[in-house]
Amino acid sequence: MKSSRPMTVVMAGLLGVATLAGCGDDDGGVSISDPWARPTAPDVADGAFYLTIANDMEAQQLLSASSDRCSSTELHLSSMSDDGVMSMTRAGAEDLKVPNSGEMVLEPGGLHIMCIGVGDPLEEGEEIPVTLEFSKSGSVDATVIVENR
Amino acid sequence: MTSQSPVGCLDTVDQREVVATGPARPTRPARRLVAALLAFGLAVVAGVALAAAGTRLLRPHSFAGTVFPDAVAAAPLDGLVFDDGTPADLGAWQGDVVVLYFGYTSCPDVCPTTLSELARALDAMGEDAEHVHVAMISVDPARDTLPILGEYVRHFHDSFVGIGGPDTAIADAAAVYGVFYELGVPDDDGRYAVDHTATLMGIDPDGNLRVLWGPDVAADALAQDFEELLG
Repeated sequence: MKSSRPMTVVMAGLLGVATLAGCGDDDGGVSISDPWARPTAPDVADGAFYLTIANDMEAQQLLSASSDRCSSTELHLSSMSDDGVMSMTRAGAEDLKVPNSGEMVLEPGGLHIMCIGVGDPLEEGEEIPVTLEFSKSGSVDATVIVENR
Repeated sequence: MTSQSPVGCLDTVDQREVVATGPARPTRPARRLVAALLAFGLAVVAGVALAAAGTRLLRPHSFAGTVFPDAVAAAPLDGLVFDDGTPADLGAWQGDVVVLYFGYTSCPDVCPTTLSELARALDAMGEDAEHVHVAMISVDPARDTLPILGEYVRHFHDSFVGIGGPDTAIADAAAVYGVFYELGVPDDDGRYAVDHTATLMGIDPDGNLRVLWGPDVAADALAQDFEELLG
């Protein structure tokens, strides 16, 4: 009996760590699929990254995105008014809610990561590392593929 | 019943006679029935043939955009030039389809998406694509010089052209085409976005404004609509 106590403590400790690791670690609760971007035209300063976020846990916020490929990175939202006017604004907190056990899609005409200041144009075939920050899952990495869609 | 006696002939005669007296009548309804069936059959065949021809003639093509009910001559682009500096004369494209789009090169999401779809539509049309001209009018002349504009649009398709000019001429053209645009407030780095009506305007070979497509129209639908406009 005496020898099993330390084991119990160790087991409990391991279980606790395992539970913590489920959320907040590299892939904790969030997975990224289909990260892509279009090649940019010469002399165009900014590009847009798109991807799909699948969230396995309770609702959380997408806080920011970053990439060394860009001078700076912001989260933007394109939207169309009833009379067909397109505008683009920085995405607000409301726009960046990742639903409980749901998906958030960054796609043309909607949410996107704005890669500000690409320097050299984004070229077809390029692979660009990107890091997303989530309120609960922390940092999640993805690789954006540049392709002509 | 066969008979070998001469009486057989008589039997035959008798049978013939019997046959002759009865049934001339039953054959008339039978003939009428056959005639009726033939007529019906012909009618069905004719009907099917007409329907097949008729659906092509009578069913209108369903455009993937808003169609102008009456012919509206597309307004000329006074004071504007193509990206090679020559006057933007839409009349030069009479006989072909023209697609006008108001956008700007610093637009990272919407404009590239729309221009990519247009490029894909043209590529789906084979040789007919030579008769579709896509032109982007820049609502951001401060940043979009003609060379930059030209280089930008031809990144998407080598047949695309840019159209630019002074602020006032662009404002006039936008007003005439019912296009809204507004330059945003520059941030600390001087960057700004431009809100703009992202509709695609379709002008037919007669120079009339015929269809307006939304910016999210798909390449296949566009290609079909272009073919319809080409006639």
